[in-house]
This record gives sequence, C-alpha cells and structure tokens, in this order.
Amino acid sequence: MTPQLKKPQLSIAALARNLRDRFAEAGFTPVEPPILQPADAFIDMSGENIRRRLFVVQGAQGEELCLRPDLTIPVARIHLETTPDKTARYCYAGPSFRRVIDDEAGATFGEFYQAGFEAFGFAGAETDMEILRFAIDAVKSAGLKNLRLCLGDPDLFRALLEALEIPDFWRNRLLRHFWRKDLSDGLEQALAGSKNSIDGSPEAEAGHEAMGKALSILDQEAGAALVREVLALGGIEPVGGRSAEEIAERFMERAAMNAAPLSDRVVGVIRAFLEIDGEPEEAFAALRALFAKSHVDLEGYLTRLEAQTLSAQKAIRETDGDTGIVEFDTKFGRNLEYYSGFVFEISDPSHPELRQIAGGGRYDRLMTGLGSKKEIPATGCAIYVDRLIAATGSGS
Amino acid sequence: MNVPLTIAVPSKGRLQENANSFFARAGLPILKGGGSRTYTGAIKGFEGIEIAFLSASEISKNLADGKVHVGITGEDLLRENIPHADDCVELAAPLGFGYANVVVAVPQAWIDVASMADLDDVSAGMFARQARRMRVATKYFNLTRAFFDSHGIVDYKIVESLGATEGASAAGSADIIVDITTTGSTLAANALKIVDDGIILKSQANLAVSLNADWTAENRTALEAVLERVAAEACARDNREIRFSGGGPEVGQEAVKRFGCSAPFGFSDQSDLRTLHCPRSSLYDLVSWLRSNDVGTISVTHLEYVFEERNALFDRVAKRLDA
Repeated sequence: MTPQLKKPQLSIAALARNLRDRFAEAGFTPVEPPILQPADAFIDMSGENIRRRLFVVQGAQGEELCLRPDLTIPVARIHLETTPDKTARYCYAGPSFRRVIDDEAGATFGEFYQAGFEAFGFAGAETDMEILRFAIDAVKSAGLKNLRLCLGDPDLFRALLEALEIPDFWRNRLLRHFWRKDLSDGLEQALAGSKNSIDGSPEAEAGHEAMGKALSILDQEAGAALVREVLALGGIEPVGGRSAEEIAERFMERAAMNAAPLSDRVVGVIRAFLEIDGEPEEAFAALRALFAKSHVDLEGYLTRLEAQTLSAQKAIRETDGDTGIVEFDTKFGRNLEYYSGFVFEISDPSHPELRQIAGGGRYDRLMTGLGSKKEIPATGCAIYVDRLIAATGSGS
Repeated sequence: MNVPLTIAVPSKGRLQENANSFFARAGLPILKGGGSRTYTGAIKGFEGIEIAFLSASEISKNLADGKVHVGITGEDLLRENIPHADDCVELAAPLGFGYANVVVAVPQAWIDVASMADLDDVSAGMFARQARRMRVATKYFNLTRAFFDSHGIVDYKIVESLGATEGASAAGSADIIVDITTTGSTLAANALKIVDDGIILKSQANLAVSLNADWTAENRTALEAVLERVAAEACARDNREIRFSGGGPEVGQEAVKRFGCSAPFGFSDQSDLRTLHCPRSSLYDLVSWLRSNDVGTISVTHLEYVFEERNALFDRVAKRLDA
C-alpha cells in the first residue's frame, strides 16, 4: 500500500516564512540548519523510542543520519558550534520530519512545517515572559482567535523533592518516573515502595539482598573491592561498560532503599501535588495549602512562578477578554526531559484534535546534554504551522 | 494467466536443509528448477505450485507485501521484519525445527542484574552517572524496542550489529545485547548471561500464510492440498499409535480424558482391540496407567501420516483469508 501524500500547500511554507520574517524583525537572527542531522543527537537526548519517529538514512561512511524531527536541537547545535560563549537569538522556519505512528489518526504524512525562535544565554523570568508573549503575538497575528494556554514548570517537582528531604536514590527514582509517559504506573510503583526486582527469581532476589546487606556496612571503596573479589571468585571477566564501583553502589543503594522506604507523609504529599491542575489562582492556592500543611517551604519559588503565571494570564486577558483559557498543571512539561523551568503550550479549544499549536519554554539542560562543557541557559518556542493553518483556515 | 501458489523456501543454510526434509516427510518433495531457473522449483506431483528460493529475511518481506502466498521462515524474522505481523500473516504451523530464543543478555559481571526491572534501574543510573545511554547491540530493532517498551525501559540506544553480536559487549561497542541463542553456550563463552525474564521470543520455523497476497480459487485449492499433507505429517510427528486389548470398555474413554489421546476409529462393541493416538509427551504415562488397569500387551508404533476427517488447519487459515 502506498500512503497518500499530503497535497502540497504553498501557503504553509509561506506562512512559516512570514512568521520567521516577523521574528527576524524583532531581532532574532535567521538560521537554516541542515535537514540531514546525525541521528545520535536526537537519540541521545530523547532515548531509543524517538528512533521509530525518525526517518533514518545512511551517510557515505555508514554513519546514521536522519531528517530533522524538530528544529530546536539543530539550532542549538549551530549555536554550540559557532558562538557558545555569547548570547544569541535565532529564528527559523522550515519542514521537519517525523514518522507518523498508528495511534495518531488524522496526523499528516510525516512532513510538517515549524517556525520558531530560540534565545541562548539568557536566564531569568524576564526572558521567559518575553518569549511567551512573543509566541502569543505570533499565533494571533496568523489569525488564531481562541487560545488555551497551559503552563507548568517541571522543576517545581524537583524543588518539592528537595524540600521533602528524601534520600537521593528516592529522589532520582521519582524524578525518573516523572519524565516518563506511564507516569502514574511507574510512580505509583515507586511510591508504593515496591522492590524493583519483582520479576527476578526468588533466589536472585535473596542473593541481591544478602550482597546488599554485606556491602551496606562498607564504604564505597571497600564495596567495590568486594565486588571485584566476588567476580574473581566466580571466574567472571569484568567486561561491560560498568565499573565495580557502580555495581557496588547499586547494591548499597538498593539495600538502603529497602531499609528506608518512603514515609506515608511523603507519599501523600507527592500524590496530592500531582493532582493539582486547573485555573491558576486556584492551583496556586491549592499548592500553598498543601505545602503549608506538609511543612514544605517553597514560598520563594512559588511566588516567582505565580507571578509568571498570572502575568501570562494577564497577557491573554488583555487580548482575549474572558474567552481565553489559562491553566496551570503540576504534571505539565514532563514530555521532554530537557525542559527545566517555565514551559507553555498553546492550543485552540475549538480544535482539540490539533493538540498543541505552539509549545516552548525553558530548557537549560539541553546544551550540556548536547556536549557543552558549561551550562547555557536556553528558552524558545516552536509553532506547528500546519496546525495553525488548520485551526485558522488561513491556508484555504 | 493463472498465477501459481507461490511457496517461499529458504535458499541456503541449515534452514534450507530442514525445510527440504520437512517437505519430503510431508510427501511434498521439492524439485529444483534446472538451468537458469535455479531460484524456482516445483513440488513433485503438484500442478499450480511454484517454489521460490529466497533468503530468510526476504521471505518475511515478500509475505508482508503479498508477493508470495506461503513462506517457511523463523518466527523471529517474521515478527522483526513485519510491523503488526499478525495482521499480515497467519502462522499456520510451527514446523519443529529452527528453534532459537531471542533473548536479552547482559555481562556476567553485572552481578546485580537478574531481571528486566534491574536493567531499567541500571540503564537509568548509567544515564544519570555517565551521561550516556545504555547501548544495546542487536539486529532485532523492532523486537527489542517493543520488549523494552513493555518493561518501561527508555534510557537506552540500539547499536546495529549484523554479525557476532555476542562479542559486542566484550569488544566495548555495546553494553548488552539482544540476540538469538539455542543453547546459551556462545553467550557464556562471551561472559554474558540471559536476564531471567529477558526471553523475548521462543522462535522456531513456521509455515506462514500471507493475508495480503491475491488468492484465486485455484490457489486456495492448492493450499488446501498442501496443508492437508502438512497437517497429516504434523499430527503423525506429534503422536504415537497405541494398541492394546482388554481392560473393559471404560479404559479407552478414560485414557482419552486423562492423557489428551484421541480415538481415531472409535471404540467398537464387537472387538476388544483398542486403538489410540497419544501425544508423544504423555506416552509413558499412558503406558504405565494402562498397565495398572490390567490390559495385556501394548504396542506402540510411529505414524507415517494421519489424515483427519476435517482439515482443521486449512479451515483455520481459510477463515483468516475470508476475514
């Protein structure tokens, strides 16, 4: 079966270019990243699951290349390769390519247009707000009338875990599940304190526990020595990407986890936290009440975030009156692991099937993920031009 | 022009030898084409059937595309190469050869890893500590992805390996592997061990029927004849014929119930002689049970073919083709 190719719509490319020109006028430098990118850049950032969305091709030396699935990472790579030590603002427009997966009925063939802008080297709430306002202006200029703005901050969850003063290994485990799609299952399992080796045979489990107990009284160095000894006794060659230290550390960590399960209080706070979403004022009131009740002090963080959220709400109210919908969701922003602060998504409430029309926010962890030695604050926004046209009808 | 029923058979290696002897056993001897037509063949005594000799991975692709009607290939390749394999092909009959398990294997030195849940933990730790994804060497991209998905593992990266995959970990080009194994000895020789719940697929050679091919009435008739012999051979392969006399009329019925036997010719009131077909696996249990029920001499024979009254195998396939 040959899939139906989408009819070429010149207007999509034209609108994308118009948007980019608009960004350029506002001081963003237009860049045109190559369409062919090293596949590793995306797989390393997002994990193996992204690969099935990539159109992968082979380079002359057998290296794996792919058609860019988005433009944020390619633009970030340009910045890293050219002027990583300076601040910079870039804008772009062009096609991106993602394989359509079956469960996305009605999705396009796999080629879609994005227009967007990124700012590197700017930390702080001011830039966050500037980016958001600019994104709102852009979609409105293209004719989007009704807006639903969803806001979040994945680092609030991080901050909560810090404030709860739980051991590192629990914090890492909960964070890991927070980023995953099956949030509820994985997190519930972790919260329920279930052992992580449930599928292993009982003998293996018993062996692990004994080893963990033996190691728990040793320091790291002695633990690693013991692991080496066990390997030598068993005649096992120490191959395979992990050091004896790492193996010993994991035994100790598991022993510690078994010995110190999360308290009911902590589990209760986390569950309640993740249920909070909705109208900003109510959401922040609920957060304050929860934190006060559970003696978590995050008032500083919350005040900053609330100011940002309310200011975003005001920006929408100014143009939309009362029709604009603004929501704050504690779980929002967890679909991309490199998001690190104030993040947003714009959709059209009368076209829920289009899902997000524009999305962006802060992603301070991307640059180090791409190999930068120093941290580079980053924020930006991408507009899905095909969806924008579908919502506004301005392409017909 | 009438398109013949095309059966794709592996063109080389052990799989080819086994497939040839399977067809011979089933009374469907393959004749190789001569001269320029060495990549096609026929079945002796059958009109309207063409044999296509293809590489194992081509067979799965051709089945999916509907370019061949029937194919002999491993379930591992079918499931790896055809997305949604069950919608495209019907695995009509496992053939009893080409056994191989697709498994997840990790270095033996990872003494803290016994389960996939451990592996999830380790892969996440690796990402956090070493800022790199756990590398999995394999040629089974799709099977690996689906299996790791089902275990919620996301922090990994597949490194393509088209040969000597079991050496990837020792060579440092990957951390763990997903590969086929029959006895596990090659894995052990490379200082690897199988994760307890890391068996992705227990594979063997299958007779697979393409649901995407064009099926003419003639093709279906030819398929019915082929499947009749395949089923007759399979039934004969899996069963032994037991004959005994005495023990009263209920003994036969009880044996059918207890040991999954069948009574192909029923139980006659006139004669004391009973005939049963018993699954190979419960043969000795049946014999000792019969002994305890005071029957006389028991004879056991190999069966050549068992042509059952209804061709259940074809009926099942026909239902899929009609759907």
